[in-house]
Parts: sequence; C-alpha cells; structure tokens
Amino acid sequence: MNTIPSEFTVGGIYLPPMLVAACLGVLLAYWTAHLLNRYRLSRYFFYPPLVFVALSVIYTVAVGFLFIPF
Amino acid sequence: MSKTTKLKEAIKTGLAFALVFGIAMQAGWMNPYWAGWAVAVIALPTAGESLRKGTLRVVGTIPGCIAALVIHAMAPQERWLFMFLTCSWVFFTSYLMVSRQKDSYLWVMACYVCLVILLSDLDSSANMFESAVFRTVETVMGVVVYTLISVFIWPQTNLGAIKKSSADLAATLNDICSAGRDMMLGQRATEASFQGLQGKVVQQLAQFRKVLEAEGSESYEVSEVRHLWEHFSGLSSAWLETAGRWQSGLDELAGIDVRAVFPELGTFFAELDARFAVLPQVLTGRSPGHPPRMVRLHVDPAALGHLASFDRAAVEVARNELQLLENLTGALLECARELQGQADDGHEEKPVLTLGVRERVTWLPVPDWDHLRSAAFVAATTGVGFLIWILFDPPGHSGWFQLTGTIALLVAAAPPLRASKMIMPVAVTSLVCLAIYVFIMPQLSSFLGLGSLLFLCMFATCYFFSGMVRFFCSMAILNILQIQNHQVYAFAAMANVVLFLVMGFTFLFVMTYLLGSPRPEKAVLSFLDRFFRSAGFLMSRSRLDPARTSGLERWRIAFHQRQLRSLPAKLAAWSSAIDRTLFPDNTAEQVQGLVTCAQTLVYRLDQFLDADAVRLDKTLGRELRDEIDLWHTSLQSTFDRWARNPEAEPVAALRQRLEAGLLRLEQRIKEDINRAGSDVSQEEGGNFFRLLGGYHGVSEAALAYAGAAQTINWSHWREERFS
Repeated sequence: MNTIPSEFTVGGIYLPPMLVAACLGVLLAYWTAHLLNRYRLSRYFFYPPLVFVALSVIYTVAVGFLFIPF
Repeated sequence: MSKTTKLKEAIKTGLAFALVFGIAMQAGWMNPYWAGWAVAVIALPTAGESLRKGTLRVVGTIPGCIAALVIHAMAPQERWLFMFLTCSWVFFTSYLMVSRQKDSYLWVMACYVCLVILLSDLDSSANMFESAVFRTVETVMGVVVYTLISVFIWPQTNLGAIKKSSADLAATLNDICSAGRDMMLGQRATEASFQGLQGKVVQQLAQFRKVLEAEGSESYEVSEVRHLWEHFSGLSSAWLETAGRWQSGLDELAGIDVRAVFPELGTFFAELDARFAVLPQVLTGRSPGHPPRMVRLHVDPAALGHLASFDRAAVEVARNELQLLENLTGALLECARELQGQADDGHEEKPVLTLGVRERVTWLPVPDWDHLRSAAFVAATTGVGFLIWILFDPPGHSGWFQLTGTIALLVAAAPPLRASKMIMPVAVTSLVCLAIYVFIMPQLSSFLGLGSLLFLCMFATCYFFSGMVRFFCSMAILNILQIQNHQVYAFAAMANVVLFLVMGFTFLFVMTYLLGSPRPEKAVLSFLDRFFRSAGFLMSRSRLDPARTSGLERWRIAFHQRQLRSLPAKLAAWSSAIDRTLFPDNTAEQVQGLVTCAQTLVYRLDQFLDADAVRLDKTLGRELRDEIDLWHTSLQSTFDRWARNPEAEPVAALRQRLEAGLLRLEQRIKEDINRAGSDVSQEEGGNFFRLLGGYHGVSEAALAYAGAAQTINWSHWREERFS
C-alpha cells in the first residue's frame, strides 16, 4: 500500500487528496445515515447531526488510511 | 400558465437579460451582472407584479447603499465594530422582512445591497461610493429595461383581476355561510367541507392581496381606492375568523331546536343570502346593489326557558357570533358599493364597525418570537460567515460573509424550506454553468455570441423551471459566468466558486440548527409546547384585575396572546411539511385535525377571555368564585402538562374531571341567579350565560384536542433520526 500523499488529476486539474477523501467520507456517512434511518436505528443516538459529523470524520480518516493517503 | 404564455415570458426575460448586459458593457459600467440580477428577479408573469417588485428593488437599494456607506465610515479599521454594525443592520432588516408582508422584498434588498456594497472593493474604500452609485444605476436600468419590454412585447396585464378575485372571495364566503347554516340546522353540510372552504378562503385572501398590490402598481383607478380594497380584505379576514368561531360552537347546538329559539332565523339567513348574492355583482360592476337592511336575531324567551343552562349558554354565544357576522356582511356590501361609487347618501343610520383593532393591552411593541429567531439566525449566519472568512479564508473568501448572509434571508423568509434540499440543485446548476464557462465562453469573440448565450441560458431557465430551482439557476449563471468588460478566464477561480457555493449551502444547513431542529415533526412539537405554555399563562393571568396589572405584566399578556393567535397558522405550515412516508401511522387528515383543534381552542379561549371579564362582577357569590378558580387551576395544569407532553391527558379522565367541574359551576350560577332574584337584569343574565358558555367552549375544545392528540403516534415523532 502506497502511503505517500499524491494529488489526483482530472483532465489536467490537480485535486488535493484530502478533498477527495473528505468527499468520499461524507458520501459514505450519508449512505450510513440513510441505512440507519431506514431500519430505525438512528433513534438510539442522542443527537444524530453530531453522529453524522463524527461518521464523516471517521470515514475520511479510514479512506485516507486505507486508499487515499493525505 | 399556458405553454404559449410561458414561452412568451421566457423570450421576454431572455431578451431583457441579454440587453441589460449589452447596455452596461457598452457604457463601461462596473459589474454588469448587477443589472442582470435585477432582470432575473423581477421577471414575473404580469406587468403589475414586475412593476411592484422592481419598485421595491429600487427603493430598497437606496437604504442598503446608505447603510453600507455609514458602516464603512464608522468602522473603517475596526473589524469587530464593523461586524457588530453590519450584523445589527442585518438583524433589523431581516426582522422587518419577516414581519412586514407588504414590503418584505424592500427589506431583503436593504439587507442584501448593504452586504454587496460593503465588500465591493476589499483593498480600499476609495471606490465604495462609486460602487454604490453603479449598483443603484444598474438596478434602475435593469428594472426599466424589463418594464419596457414587458409593456411593449406581449403585455400581460392585471387589469380587472382585482374585481374577479374579490368576486370569487365573496362567493366562497357565501359558501361558508351556507355550509354553516346547514350545519346549524342539522342538514347535509359536514365539518370537513366547512374546513375545506375555510382553507380556500385563506388562499383566496392571499391571492387577493397579491393581485391588489400588482394591479395597484399598474392602474391609477385601483391605487386611488386602495384603502377601500384593503378595508374589504380586512373585513373578509374578520368575517372568516368570526365564521370560524361560530362554526366551532355549532356542535353544542346539535340537540337544540334552533328554529324555535331563533324565530327569525329564516329571515336572518335570507337577508345574508341576499347580500351575498348581490355582492359579486356589485364588485364586478354588474349591479348597483341595495343598501343592506338591518336584521336582528332575537331569542324567543319561552323557548329559551325550556333549555338547560349549558344550552342557553351555547345559544347566547351563537347569537353573538351571528350578530357579528351580520354586521360584517353588511359592512362588506357597503364597502363594495362604495368601491363602485354608490355609497349611501346617509339617509339611513348605520352601525359603525371598527375592524381588526383588538383592544391593545400595552403600547409597547410586541414582537413575534419566531420573527425574532429568524432575524437572529440571519445575523448570526452573517457574523459566523465573517469569522470564517477572516480566520480561515477558505475558497469563496468574502463570499462567506456576503452570500451566506443573503441566502440565510431566503431560509428565514420561508422557514419550512429545508437548506439541505438546496445543496444538490446548487451543485448541479453550478457544474453546468462551469462547463459553459470552460467550454463555450472562450470561443465567443463578439457581443452577438455572448448575447445569444445569455439569452439562451435565461430562456431555458425561465421556460423549464420555476420557484427556487429557477432562482438557483439564475444565481449560478450570474455567479459562475462572471461576465466583465475585460473578460479573464481562470478555471481555478471558478472551480473555487463552485466549491464555495456547495460549502456555503452546507454551512447554511448547519446554521439552521440555530432555529431548532429542521425536522418538521420536531418543529410541530416545539410549537405545541409554546402554544400550551402561552395558553396556560393566559389562563393564569385572566384572574388579574386589568386596572392593577403592571406594565410588564400587560406586555407579557400581549406577547402570549400574539403567540397563541399566530401559532395555529405556523403549525399548519409545518405539519404539511412532515414526510408521510416516514410516519405511516398518522394520516394527513389526523395531523390536520390536530391543527384544527388547536385553532378551535384559540377561538374558544378568545371567547372565554372576553366573557371572563364578568367574573370580576361583584354580584358573583363567593362559592361561584371559588368554583371558577378551581376550574381555572385545573385547566391551567392540563395546559402545562400538554406543553411538556401532548398526550399527557387521556380524553376519558379529562372529560370526567372537566364535566364534573362544569356541572358544579352550572349549579352555582343557578344558585347565584336565584339568590339575586329580580335584581338580575336581562343583560346580567346574558353575561352569566356567556360566562358559562365560555367555560363550556374551552372545555369542549380541550376535549376535542385531547381526542385528536390521542390519534397521533407522538413517540415516533420524538424519535431521533438523521435529517
């Protein structure tokens, strides 16, 4: 696994790896929240908006650690 | 709007949009897109509406420019003072925007223009005055160009719309009157049809006011008699409210032979029918009409004598409301005749009807809590945006201060609008415009090409979209294409703008939590909490003698009265935004029923508080006073419990408690009347029964609410979920 940060290029445009990881992290958190809502599991959280932020951070770090180092 | 009309409107807007850019660029004016904004915003279906919005836009631009210059002059080097002054202006204008429906857009402009001018030139203040002047000039130019185009090319006029709108309104009021009469006489009409008609009148009243503003801007004949049209609108609102109170008490007349109690009921309704039949004709100028004939609704004492106390109370309450309806109907017809220039010569004495001015409890201003919160939200968003800009300076830079504050105004103006729902349309429209900026605009070398592109963009936006999507498309076109006289293409800058727009709307979504949870069901719970707190407060203060109440206490009473009267409408707006698929246990009708019960409770509390003044009468016996106090305490504690938990009082237990209390109250009233004997005048006797009717009405309304609350799955509403 390559742990050296490298920028993403889309048609010659360079994107910072953290931006890409963060976008993926937010998308994964959104998908998780959707599933939790669907199965009424979100009722066990005290304050879901904060959980969403926490999930986004966790996923961003996980994506950074596993796939897109930043 | 038909497809042909839509096509014509889209062509007109596209043409005006391209033309204002051409004029501004030819004249070498600063930021030509300011004129483009004016066209995009004032392009409305009829010339009158566009004229009115354009006028408000121009008038609002001036205080906005002045405020920006004053703020800059007072705090040129003081960032915190600058932020404080700007947020204060934003708070002030936002409060006026949400509280003054009539000129709301003027205050939007006063707020928005101030933010634009403050940040027009960040490096120095030397060009600030120039920016303010150009902003004003280009806004005026945009308004003038669109107005000329809308007047000369396929003009869509409002002329005659006011007469049609008022005639439609009168016809629906007639339908309500007929439905209420049928319900009263035990005939076919149902409560649901009555409520449906009430909802229709509310919509027609909103439409009437809109048409009045539009036609008033277009026609001198209408603007000359605007005060009369406004009086007509006020009378119609008062009529609707009175009909609501009358209808809420009809259940209590169910077991009474109303024809025997009111021998002249047939004549009374025949006169109302005759007035309503002629009203649309007078309004549309087809009939001169006749002056309303005075009719009184007398009660037959013999038939009344056979009724139980509660029934006598219900009859007394209904008679009052019917008499008021008669007065208001007469006033509506008089107003219509006056509008047609056929006012009476004064040979018949008419009762003077003062309208809509409830007796003021205090002379201090009484703000609306939700309006204050909305204004605080806009000011806080602007302030936090400013801090983000100066402390982190992310992509978008000063836009965090200016644009987020402006978009916060949109959310404040329509609170059920979800900021989270705006993120995707903004992202898509911005990316489409970015593609145009990258792939098409560099190929253009003349204004013919640019003008055609602008025309096509605005044409497509106006033809295919409406409402908020249309607004976001216009915003993307103007912000992303960034047309200047010396056009420079910078992909990185525009990509940052796209990123900023998406981040800005996400930030706005986070900030909406300042207003409370954006989930509609949570908002409804919070409104119910405030509703019953206010109801409980008013019940507790109704025992006070007004002459001995302090100024602060009077202000608090006025504040809670305002809350109580305004909350049912807010409850209705938010409850309709609840996603039914998420809460399959409750139907739309059940939720609507809950809102209706809340509205009925307000009507009944109003009647009760009016009647309760009798309680201060010295002729009341001590036992009766004690009984009344006991009833007050009981109902107040019920309201307090409902504020904490809407299902706190099961119907059966509440019914048992309230009915036992009411029976005791009835007994005491009888005893008091018997004890006083012939000393009790007819008026005092009527007051006693009005008092009893007030208590009975509130108790019945509370029971109806408890019944409606039992059908709702509150625990599901309270459950946490991701919004």
